[in-house]
Amino acid sequence: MTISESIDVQVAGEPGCAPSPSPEALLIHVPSRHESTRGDTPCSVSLSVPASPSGLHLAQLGMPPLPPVNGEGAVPPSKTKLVHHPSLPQLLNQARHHSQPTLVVRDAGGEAPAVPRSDSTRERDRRFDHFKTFSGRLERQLSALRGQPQEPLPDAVDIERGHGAASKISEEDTDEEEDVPSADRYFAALEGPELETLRSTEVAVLPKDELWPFLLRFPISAFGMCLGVSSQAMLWKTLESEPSTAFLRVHPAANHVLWWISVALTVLVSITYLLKVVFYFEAVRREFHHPVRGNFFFAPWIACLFLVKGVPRPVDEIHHVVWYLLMAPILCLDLKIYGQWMSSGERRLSKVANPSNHLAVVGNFVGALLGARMGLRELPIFFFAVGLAHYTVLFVTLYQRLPTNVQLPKELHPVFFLFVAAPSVASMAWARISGEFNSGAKLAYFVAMFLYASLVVRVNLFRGFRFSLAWWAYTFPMTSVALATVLYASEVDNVGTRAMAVGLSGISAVTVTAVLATTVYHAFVRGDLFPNDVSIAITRRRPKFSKILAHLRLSSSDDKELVFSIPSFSSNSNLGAYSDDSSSNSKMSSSSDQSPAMANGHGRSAEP
Amino acid sequence: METTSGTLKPCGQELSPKGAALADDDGSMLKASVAPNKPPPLLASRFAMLTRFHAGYFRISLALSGQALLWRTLSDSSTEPSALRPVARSLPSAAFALLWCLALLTLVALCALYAARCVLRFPAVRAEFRHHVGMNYLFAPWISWLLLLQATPFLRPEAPSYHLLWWAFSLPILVLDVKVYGQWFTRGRKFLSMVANPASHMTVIANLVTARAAAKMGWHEGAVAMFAVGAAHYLVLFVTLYQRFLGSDSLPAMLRPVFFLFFAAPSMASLAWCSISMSFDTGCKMLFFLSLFLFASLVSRPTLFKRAMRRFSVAWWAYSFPLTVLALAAAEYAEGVREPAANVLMLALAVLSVIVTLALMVFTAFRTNELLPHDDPFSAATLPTRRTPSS
Repeated sequence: MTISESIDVQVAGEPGCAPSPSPEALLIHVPSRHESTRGDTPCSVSLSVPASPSGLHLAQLGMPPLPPVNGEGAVPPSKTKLVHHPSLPQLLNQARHHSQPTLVVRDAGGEAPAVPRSDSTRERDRRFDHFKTFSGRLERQLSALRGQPQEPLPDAVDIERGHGAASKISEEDTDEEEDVPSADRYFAALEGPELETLRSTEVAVLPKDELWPFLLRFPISAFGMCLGVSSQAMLWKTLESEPSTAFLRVHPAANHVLWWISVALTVLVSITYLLKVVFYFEAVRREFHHPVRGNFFFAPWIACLFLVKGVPRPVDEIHHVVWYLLMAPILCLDLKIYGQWMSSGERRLSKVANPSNHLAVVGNFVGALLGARMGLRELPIFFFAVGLAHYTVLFVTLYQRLPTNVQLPKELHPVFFLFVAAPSVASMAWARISGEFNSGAKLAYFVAMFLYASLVVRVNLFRGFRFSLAWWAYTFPMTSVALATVLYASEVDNVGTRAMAVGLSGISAVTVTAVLATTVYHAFVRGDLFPNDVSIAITRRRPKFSKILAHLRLSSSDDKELVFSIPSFSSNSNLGAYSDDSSSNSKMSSSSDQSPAMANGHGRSAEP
Repeated sequence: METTSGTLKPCGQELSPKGAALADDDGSMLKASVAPNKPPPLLASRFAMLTRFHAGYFRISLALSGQALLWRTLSDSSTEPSALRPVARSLPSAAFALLWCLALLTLVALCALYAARCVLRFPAVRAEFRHHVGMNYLFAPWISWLLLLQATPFLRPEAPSYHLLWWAFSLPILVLDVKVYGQWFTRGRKFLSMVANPASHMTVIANLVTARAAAKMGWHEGAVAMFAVGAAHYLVLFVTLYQRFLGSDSLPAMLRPVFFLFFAAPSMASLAWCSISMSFDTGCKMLFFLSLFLFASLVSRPTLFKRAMRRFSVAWWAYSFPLTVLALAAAEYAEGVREPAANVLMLALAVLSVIVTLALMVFTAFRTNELLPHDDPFSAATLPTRRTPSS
């Protein structure tokens, strides 16, 4: 297979390879191949690297030819056009495959490119296309429906060709798993107790330094807020109705107010996430396959179950259909996720077990609790049995900390509070199923209390973590322990148990308030409640020569400009080395020939 | 020697459970490494067949005995709710007797074959016992005998011959228990985490069947003892299999039907506990619901079984017994909980089990060649060094 492998470096505004003090554009032609063996035709990519203070945006594929800045004709547009047109379908194929669609429009020195602004924004949009539903076609259709001006013809031609080629690819690319990183990739690329931070050797497919569209930044863990607030509504309703806490004389208004707040919050979050599902389905799919975030897909249904349980009227007046409607998605998720534990190769439990898996188990217990309260008989036992069996497996696995499972955080993190959620809700559910707080319920309750105590005495180890929305999910275990204690105190009624009930309820209320305050602070004062969601933007394959990239990034943080030159590739084998690599980042830097050049580049960048 | 399950035609293809030991997959390497056998003369073929016969064939007797027990249970329940009486009456006792005789004949034939194999090919039996999948099927004959005993129309549980037969069939199970379970946590290369595979459920099911038969017999303590042993090891096995420390290479693709044992074990536990506690209480319900869930989980993943379904083999018989046990548990559930939905569930499962068994019998009748083994899965010559058992 022959590929044209010449790489020229041209610096706009100046012939030759000398860097300019503030280079506006660095146009690099990089031959590139995509994974299929159709790459016989020479294709090349025109790449524009912004010399922006934010650093190097490596390796994006070129889309429409960039006009040179300042109107400089250093790059003859005809040349780039000629270069581009034959390669564009392949490039778009690559875009489809490699999830790094387009190039970055640079905007150095505040000078806009000569091409109209819409061009650059349009180009900017395409970076997120891969995460959009149907890769952005939905959005284009919607904008067409809204009557917005269509893109100019050359681009349209390109896109159509791209469509033509891309649609061929989509027919071949039937394996869904290929579009989404494997579980191993998630563990390899991310770190942290919630697998939310990118390792230093990894690169995200979307630019890290810009704020992504809001919907793309809205994680499923936002439903943790609904969990926290609706569980509080449930708690205050129980405090008012149970005999053991009747002495507190809690006013029903507390339950009312909290309930309406949680309804409003749940509706808001649900609508937002629904919009994300509609517009950014690929991102949602990636979230579903994330080992930690996937469990949060149970959270909306659990929150709704809490809402039904905390409704300001007797629960047994509610029609059973509501319960069936809420438990059907939980059952489907159960079948999918537990089946994966049992029979999947890469998502089996010994590999992916982490404390967030408790969310996948708690849903069964909550459903059993609500169903038993509503008067159902058999189906709550069904869900309790399924939840209990899988909880046993999960509990043993997490306690074992198998060598194949390295994802539990070494330091404690609020995620550990999820350990407490399952046994406490199970004890309440069993109490309702059996009609009284019998020995089985007490067993589960004491296990929950023990786990809670063993976490609380280590509270000083919980400091120093970055706040994130997922912290809300860890408030509801505290509430469920408080609830279970209230029920226990009704059964074993003495001063000690009452004091415990009141104390734990107080702790949970304080915790929720504190987390709420922190959320509001981050949302409105700091404005970073929804940071860029890098955990879904990892590359499908590990970028090669990642050390070089890390080195690059380290050095680029020192210098305002980064300019480097790449010698022409002379051997085929270099390309072959990364021919199957989806990260075009590495294509830029993957040749070992370049390391001296890199050093040159560093040296040069140090000069100005 | 003619058996109802097959004739002595030596040719045919059998993808054995040992296939995975020899190749990554379905014994394709095995086929390559073993020279294809030309059909030898009939006498020699008998002995050759003994070499290739293995305990997995007892799946057939398991299925048939289970069916007999199911028919007996369905037709026996005299206090049926009205939905079931038409069904009970439509199962003529003659058909049941025929089924019972068929099951008995099959079991006797298979036992005789296996006894001959023990006598004439003892090294092969020993190799089978050491294999992580094969060893579990050594429980299968005893399970079949116990099931058949419970399904016997003319023998009442209080009769002394019943007691005697129970002891005769349970002692081997106890001995095998001690051997196999002891290996799980003491013997280096046979730790549970290394040998666990879905076929290990057979050991648990053996204990539970023994417990149920003992409970029916009236011996409460023995029943609880066997149940406790079975339940404890089921817990361990369940967790280990769900964790899947080793991944999917514990069982070759051709043996995927054995995955159905996942829901056979809790159904059997539910039945056993129901006999012990004399009523279908909450524990039994929970076990039954768990097995329903696992059944739904497996049935909603048809791609798991795609490879095994390409060619008929004795592994297909592994579908029948779990479905039968599930139907049995559903029958007990329907009787305990007099609800129309439960009856519908029971009918559906019973019909499914009968259909599957009938289909398997038809397949066997028409594809007998494929059912019989054509190479010995456990012969020492074909064992690769990495899986050679210590002698």
